[in-house]
Amino acid sequence: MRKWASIFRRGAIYCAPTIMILLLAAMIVQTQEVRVITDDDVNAVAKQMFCLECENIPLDVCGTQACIQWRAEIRRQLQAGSTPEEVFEYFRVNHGEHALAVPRDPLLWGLTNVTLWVMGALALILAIAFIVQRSRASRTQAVTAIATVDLPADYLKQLEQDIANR
Amino acid sequence: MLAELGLLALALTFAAALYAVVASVLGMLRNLPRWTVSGRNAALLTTPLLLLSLIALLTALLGQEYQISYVHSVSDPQTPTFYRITALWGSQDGSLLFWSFTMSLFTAGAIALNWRTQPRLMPYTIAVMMATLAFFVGLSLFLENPFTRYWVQENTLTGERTAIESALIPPASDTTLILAPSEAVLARTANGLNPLLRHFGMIIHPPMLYLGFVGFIVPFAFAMAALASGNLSLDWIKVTRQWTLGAWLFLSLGLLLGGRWAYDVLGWGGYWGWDPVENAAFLPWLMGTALLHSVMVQERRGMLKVWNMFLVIATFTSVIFGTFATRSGLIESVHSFARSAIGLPMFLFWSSMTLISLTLLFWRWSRGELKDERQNVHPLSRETLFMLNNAVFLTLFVFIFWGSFGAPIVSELFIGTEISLGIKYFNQVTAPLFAIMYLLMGVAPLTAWGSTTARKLGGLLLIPLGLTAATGVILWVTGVRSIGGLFGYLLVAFAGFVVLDETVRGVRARMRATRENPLVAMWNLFGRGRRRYGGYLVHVGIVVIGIGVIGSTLYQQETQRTMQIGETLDFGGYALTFNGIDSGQIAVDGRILDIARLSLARNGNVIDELRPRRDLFLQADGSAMPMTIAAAHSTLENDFYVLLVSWQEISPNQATFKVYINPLINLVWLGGLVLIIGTVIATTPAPAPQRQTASIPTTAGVAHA
Repeated sequence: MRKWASIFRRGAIYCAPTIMILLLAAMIVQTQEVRVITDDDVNAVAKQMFCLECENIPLDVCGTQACIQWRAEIRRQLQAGSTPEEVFEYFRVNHGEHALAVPRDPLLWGLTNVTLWVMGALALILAIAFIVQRSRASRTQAVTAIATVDLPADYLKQLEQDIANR
Repeated sequence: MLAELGLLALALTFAAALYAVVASVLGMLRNLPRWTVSGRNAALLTTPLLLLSLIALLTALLGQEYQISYVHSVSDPQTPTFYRITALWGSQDGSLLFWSFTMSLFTAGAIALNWRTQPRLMPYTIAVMMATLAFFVGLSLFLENPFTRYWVQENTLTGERTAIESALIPPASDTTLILAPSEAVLARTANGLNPLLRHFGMIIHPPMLYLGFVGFIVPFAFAMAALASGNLSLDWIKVTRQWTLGAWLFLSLGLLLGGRWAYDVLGWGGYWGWDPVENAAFLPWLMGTALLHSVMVQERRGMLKVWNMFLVIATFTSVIFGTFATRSGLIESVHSFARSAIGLPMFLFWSSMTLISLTLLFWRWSRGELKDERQNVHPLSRETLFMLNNAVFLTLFVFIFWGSFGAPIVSELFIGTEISLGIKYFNQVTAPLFAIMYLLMGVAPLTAWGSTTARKLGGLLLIPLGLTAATGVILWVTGVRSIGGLFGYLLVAFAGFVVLDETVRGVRARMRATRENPLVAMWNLFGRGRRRYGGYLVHVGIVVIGIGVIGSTLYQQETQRTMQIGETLDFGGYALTFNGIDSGQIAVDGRILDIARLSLARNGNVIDELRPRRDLFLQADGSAMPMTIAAAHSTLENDFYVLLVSWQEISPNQATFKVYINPLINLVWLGGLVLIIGTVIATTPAPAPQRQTASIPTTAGVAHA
């Protein structure tokens, strides 16, 4: 019994690392299979960034050497398992907000987006208020016009006679 | 000799423009007609003088006078004649001169057409136009002179030679000699035209854009004349309507050609990148479009007088701001504009012009001279919808301005961080506004001036809404499932069906009244109501462009693939086979071309042979500038657009291609064409009403009145 126990223990000692190595290898292979990064993956991220040398040229279409290197860096990071958000953050930290097509800093994001919608809402409210105010003026004027209308006496007399004849 | 001639003409233009300002204003203020006539003549003189200056520069470009630094910077001995001509506006100095020339042309046109009919407004109008011209000619003369020449200054003691740039011959001294530089050296070191500008579209895109920009000076000058003279009747609006439409037409054409140039040359598969330079040209277009609608409210209902004045000012100041922003370096960085030679003067001119015109407007307003004839407005009327349309255009203006200039400037100045905003941002913020614009475009033509009942409007909407619903079903059945796409297509289609229904109803009414056949009735309908039906055609153009924009934006497909020779890429129902590369081809202008050979097949049949290429422009300093020129298989359904991204770095037998399928993109250009035709129809004056043939009996009293 002890003999069998010893054989089992030795087997476990030899087999466990082998199994672990095989499992690790399988994981690496699997990871490598998952992390095949295509040009399209790189471009999808680069599209949301700008070349720093050429003003306002998106990174995915810029042909400068710097941009080719940046795209290579994006590929490397995606291959290493980074998400697009992490890639953006890396470039923001290392090259500044200017590298990104939409600022990620909360203050700058607020400046570009919130301010805009506040301005838009204000414009719309002002336009509607203007139309409503003019529209009310229209109704008031119409009522006033009816109330103060000065009709000829003979016309009024004829009108009252017509009503009486009904 | 050419440089001296051009420079002299430029200096005389500057003097004539300043004289025209002084003489016109003095003549009006002191009631001295001879002075106003003299001011007019001086203004007319600026056109031939600037033409002379322009011809001098063009002759220098064609004659390869490299001593003139502008010629040296935009051409070289390999530059073809065609590009020597376009080099006239290929860089700052030349384009400023060209800008001034177009402005003087508009001035001459305004004088020729309006001098007799608008005696009160014209002197002030001339003063405003000439003050603006004097500023731009001053920039050319003192800061960005296209006739500056290279000189060699030799120290007679040391023998040391230095190159200097000066418009006039620099003075020599006891120890320095001034020499003309060697022509051979100048020719060898000449830069050549910027490769990006070597495209057919560049012959016509910049002139159209300049004509559009500069054309808005006429309505602006008339509006300022109305404010200054106190003649605030409809005169200035009636006079400027066609000028505004003309400027709008040129600007639209310039924007469309710019989009086409970007699509062909910039190599990113699109035509509009929301780049600040593009936006700077789009902003005046937005204001101009709002103006074209709101002036109708003033003409028909006597309302929005202050608003129309504001829009004229906003349109022209946005032209000047756009020019300032793109030419001063402001777009690169807030701080670079101050380093640019023309940055500060342009900023001062723009800000002072805006301030003066707004002050003038406020002054007349505060005196109650711009009071609307009607204060009332019905919620369901054409004027109400035009006001909402104006609110949409103004909001679009503010959003695009904020994204292109406002936020980056505020961020850099107050937070110390440079930011740029990309396509995604602009698409998100402008899409809802464009949707409202199309909705208003659909409903507004069905409403009447004054008021419309909901019942009547509902009745008129029945057919367009029915057709829109049917379109929705067809789109759904054919596989359009995206909510955004479906919503966008239906909104745009609704606006189109309204125009169609309106036209059909007009034709039928005419057929009933005159018994004409449908084609004749339609021809006569458009001929008699050019303004209305030209406007409808513009709406059709905008509808067609809208369909193209939705298709090519929401349904664009793209991929990038490295392919071996003989390999085939299956993409979007097409098969693209890489057949090889013809590398190192030398073009007549010295470019080195690498041309890929590809076959495009669909359903097993080869439908096209595509040749995307990379052009390498060798610069005088030994560097090379690459350009990626796309190849496309174009149909009304889509463009199959291929770019050669790289090949040499990998191996001679393989290359990387970027492929786009741009659905319905050609509708953008087609819609642009319809828009242009519609604007031309709307701009041409309608025939004079036919005289009554029946004799009208006259009384003795009338006859002798």
